[in-house]
Amino acid sequence: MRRLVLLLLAPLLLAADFAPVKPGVPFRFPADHGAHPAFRTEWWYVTGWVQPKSGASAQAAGIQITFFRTRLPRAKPNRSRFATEQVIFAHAAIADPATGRLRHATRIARSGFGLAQARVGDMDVAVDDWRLWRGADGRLHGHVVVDGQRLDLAFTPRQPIILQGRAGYSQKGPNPSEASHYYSWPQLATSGTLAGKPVIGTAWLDREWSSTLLNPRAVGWDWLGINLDDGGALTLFRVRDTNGRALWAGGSHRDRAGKTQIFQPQDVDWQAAGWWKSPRSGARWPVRPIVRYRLGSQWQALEIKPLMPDQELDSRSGGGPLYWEGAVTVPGGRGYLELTGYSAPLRM
Amino acid sequence: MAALAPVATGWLLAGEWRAQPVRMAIAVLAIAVGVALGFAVHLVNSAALGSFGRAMASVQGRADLSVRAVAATGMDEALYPRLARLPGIAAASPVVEVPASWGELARPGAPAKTGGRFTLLGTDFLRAMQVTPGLIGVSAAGLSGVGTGNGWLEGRIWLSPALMAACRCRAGQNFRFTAAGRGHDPVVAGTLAASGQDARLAVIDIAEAQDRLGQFGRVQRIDLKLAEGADPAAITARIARALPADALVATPDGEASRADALSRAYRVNLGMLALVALLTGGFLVWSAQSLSVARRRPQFALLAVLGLSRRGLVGQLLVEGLVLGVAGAGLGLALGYGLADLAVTRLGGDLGGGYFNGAQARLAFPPLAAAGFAGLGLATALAGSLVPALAAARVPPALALKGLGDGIDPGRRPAAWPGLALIAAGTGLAMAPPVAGLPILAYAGMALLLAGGVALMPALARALLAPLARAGSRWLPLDLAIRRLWGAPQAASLALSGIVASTALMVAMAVMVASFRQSVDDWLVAVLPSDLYLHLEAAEAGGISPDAQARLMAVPGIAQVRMQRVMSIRLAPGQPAVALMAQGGHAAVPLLQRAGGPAPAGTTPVLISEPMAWLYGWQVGDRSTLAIAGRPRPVFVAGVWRDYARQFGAIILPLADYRRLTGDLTMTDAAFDLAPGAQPHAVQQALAAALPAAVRGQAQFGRPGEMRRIALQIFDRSFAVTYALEAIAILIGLIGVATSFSAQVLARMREFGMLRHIGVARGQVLAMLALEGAGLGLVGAAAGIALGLGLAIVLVMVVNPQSFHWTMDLALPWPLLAGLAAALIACAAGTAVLAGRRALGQGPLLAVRADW
Repeated sequence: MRRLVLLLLAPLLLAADFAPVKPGVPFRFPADHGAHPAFRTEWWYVTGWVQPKSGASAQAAGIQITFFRTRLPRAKPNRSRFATEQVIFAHAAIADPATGRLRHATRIARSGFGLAQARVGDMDVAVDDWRLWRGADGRLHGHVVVDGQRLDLAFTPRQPIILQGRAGYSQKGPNPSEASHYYSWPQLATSGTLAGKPVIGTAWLDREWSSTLLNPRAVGWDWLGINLDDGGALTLFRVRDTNGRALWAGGSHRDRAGKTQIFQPQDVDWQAAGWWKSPRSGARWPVRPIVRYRLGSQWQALEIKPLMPDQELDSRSGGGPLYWEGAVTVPGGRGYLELTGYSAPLRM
Repeated sequence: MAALAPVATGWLLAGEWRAQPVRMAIAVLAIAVGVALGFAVHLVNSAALGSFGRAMASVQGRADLSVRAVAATGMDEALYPRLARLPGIAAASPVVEVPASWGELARPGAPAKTGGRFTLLGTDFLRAMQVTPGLIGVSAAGLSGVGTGNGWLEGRIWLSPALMAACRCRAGQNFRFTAAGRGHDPVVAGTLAASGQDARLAVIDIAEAQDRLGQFGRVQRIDLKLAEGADPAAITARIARALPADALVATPDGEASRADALSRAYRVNLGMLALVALLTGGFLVWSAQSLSVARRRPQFALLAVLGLSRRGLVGQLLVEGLVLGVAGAGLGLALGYGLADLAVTRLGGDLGGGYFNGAQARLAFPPLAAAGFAGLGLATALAGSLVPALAAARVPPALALKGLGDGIDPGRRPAAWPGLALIAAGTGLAMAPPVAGLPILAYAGMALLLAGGVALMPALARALLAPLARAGSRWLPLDLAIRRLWGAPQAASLALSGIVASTALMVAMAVMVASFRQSVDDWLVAVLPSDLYLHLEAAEAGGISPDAQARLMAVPGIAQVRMQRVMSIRLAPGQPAVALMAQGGHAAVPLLQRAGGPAPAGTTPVLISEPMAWLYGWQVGDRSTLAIAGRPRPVFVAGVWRDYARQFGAIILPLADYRRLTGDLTMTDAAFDLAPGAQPHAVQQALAAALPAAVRGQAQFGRPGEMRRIALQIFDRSFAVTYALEAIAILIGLIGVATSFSAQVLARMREFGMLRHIGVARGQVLAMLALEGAGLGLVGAAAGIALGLGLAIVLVMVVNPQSFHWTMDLALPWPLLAGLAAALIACAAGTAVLAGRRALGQGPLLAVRADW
């Protein structure tokens, strides 16, 4: 879901004057937790696993909360209070094996009137009754409503932030301009309530802001973020062309001691596998991809297992794509997998 | 005999139809016309209302609930986040809604020009997507309006299919329009596919609408989507508590009832006219059946002697009535549908009433309504047959067989009390208050008055002729005619019932329309005292700016200018809007009442129109409040003025007060008094040239004489249907009188034979018949006109004020009434003579022996 709004609004943005993504820009916190309105788009992407506080891990469910800020430039000056340039879009999904499929909801609004905004200076982004913010105690808080079920969670950081790519400059394609500013915050201790019931778990925050479109030859991408049980964190992604080959790939690995390795494209090998066919859309998804990465000089293989096969999301009625985004496990870790561009190429 | 009954029935029926095809056809036609008119009016109205409703629903975008600004100037946009945060509200969509126009607008009554009006909406498409998906456009390529083309729809516009067709626009072209006094020229991005064929509607981005059209900080409407499972009533109440004075909650039901209220009085009145036509049909059936029964009395007596029971006889006559009714109703439905089709294509869905601008009506065939009107026609025919059937059954067969006992006994005085009782009851009902805002009881009263008038005819005829009969005449034909009329008033009233009913109705309508027209004409003279008028169409959201006003005032040749800012405001949900007219200078309106003293300090003096006073119960000298610029302002009712232009009320307040309260300095109308010697035409051209380019297409200049002419033209057009109904009623009445009269004359063949036998010359008999006819016509015309004047007074004094909430002065169209009376007399006398010639064609001997 992460780049959906970018896609959704992409044709509108071609001639705009956006801040460029450049390497060597130092990160400053808490300011970089907040919005970067000069860039075309950015997102606050929280994924995680939660389970009943007093229950077994077998009852674990996946949660995903994403807020997007997208800047739609205006060609002419306009004095109306409705003439903002920013759109806030939010998406949340609950992957509960008891349901067998995702429950999800969205919110979208132009910023303004106190109904939708992304704060500059620190994390506080809201649209209607949904909000994601950083409290004075340094904890992150998320509040969303999905299918009438309130989701109130607090995320307590236990580790420092990972700057992805080159000190936070993360290339997404062969062209150096195809890049984003990207940091991740893994191993967030999670507690709160889901539909009134106390839950605990572990979550992951991804933050990216960018002004650049994907490579024109890209048809989709795959992304994986895993909180390893030993306290480590693994990020992998690739951008695919029409033949299903990687146009670009990357990611990082941080072990429990805090030693971080950034992956170059040649360090990631991602093969689509474990095809599942959606009975609703007829689309086929490689929900158990075979993924390898080179840690040091050693290739590591990952066996990915989805919480359930049906974690397909259809946003086509609202102009968005059909995609798969779901909770997955690997031996010794849990996280989220995102698959896009498998039913139809994502048009840019 | 039981086995014989159906045979006899068929035989009698066939015989009667063969013998009297014209009279039966007239009776069928009378029923058919009543049914047709009623059905047609119903069809046209429901088609118009349906199309108007669909158009309204399109403009509303089918939101669960809307909060609307009471005035076109809108409400503070700060209400939008407040409503959006209310519990139970799933989403709120702010909307700028302004009247707009493209091209050059035609003035009312003039042939169409290159332009037209439409409703321009400014929406936040991300919100509209959730609340009113019907207001989201689709591009020419079939893509949703969200996420295609320019993100904020800057310089883009989406048109409804109806508007697209009307302006002959295509996607990709520029569409130049004017709204709120400003011009705008966006590119057509696509259509609002979901908005249907009924509404002329366009959508642009809300920020663009506010900025380009000067609507900063204002929205006219906030559409709401309720949370699932929320209780609409509770939420409506909660919202109503949160609203400022210049906003109100509009539910879909309320909007529908508003649309309904807009034309309800007009529709109901047309429907009532149709029912009255049906009533006339009933009288004609009665008259035809009575004559037919009288003529066939020996036949019935023979059947009775052969064993047909009285009940069987009544049944026989009722079957005849039923056949008449079925034929009439069937013909009426077909005729009605054709009529409705013609009316919709020729006059438009509102039958020229002007209530539904731009809405294209589509005709349907509603089986339930069809059955209803057919049933009414049947019931009328049966009722018309029942009375003569019962009378026939009462006559002893022995008498009837001899050709005697035709029920006319000159010695017996016809009873006046049933007619008088009906008239008394009718008068009482006519003065009753309205039911559900409609003059239902007054119409019932009119029906009773009509029935009473007809029932009173025999007694009246005798009373009128009594002095003449006592005096006698030395001229034989006159003497015979008077004695016949005096002696057989029932027969006279039979011939007259139809004509009295239709004359009365025609006179009533004619007097009402004449009174209305005269009052409107007087009113037009009073409200148009200046030399030149300027009106901006579709400029409710904002008209001519102050600097443009200054340019207009600087035009040479102008002695004085009275400026006006007109807009509509909604005072109550579910009620049509009231016109708020901020007038500069001395208000030029005909005052009906005026307050004794000046307005109390701190209040704004207002003049309210008659419908306003009626609908909202405001009275001269009252203090009330009016929501202006977001706050309730105290106002003082300084006077009530007569207004025929705005049926749902109008309020005049001083322009200076309006400007002080709202800060809105624009104007939409102006009246110019010219300096002596100035040429109106030259001044008009100079004014037109001084207008801002954006509003030139909306500007309409008028001079009083021409405006008066156009207004009266519109008046006449809106009464076109009424005139048609009148003509049909009178025509049926005349045909009725001709057929029944000739039948009666033919029935008296034996009498003429006897007269000839005792030495009365043929010419004398003919003269007698002519005099009888003229006498009947005279009595009928006198009674019809008298009754009609009574009905007219009910229409003018009760029905009109109750329906349209305005009063008028009674005016009598004497030439029309005199002409009507002359036509009636001539027709009756002429028919009598023509029939008499036929009756006298045979020799007297044969006539005496005539055995029909």
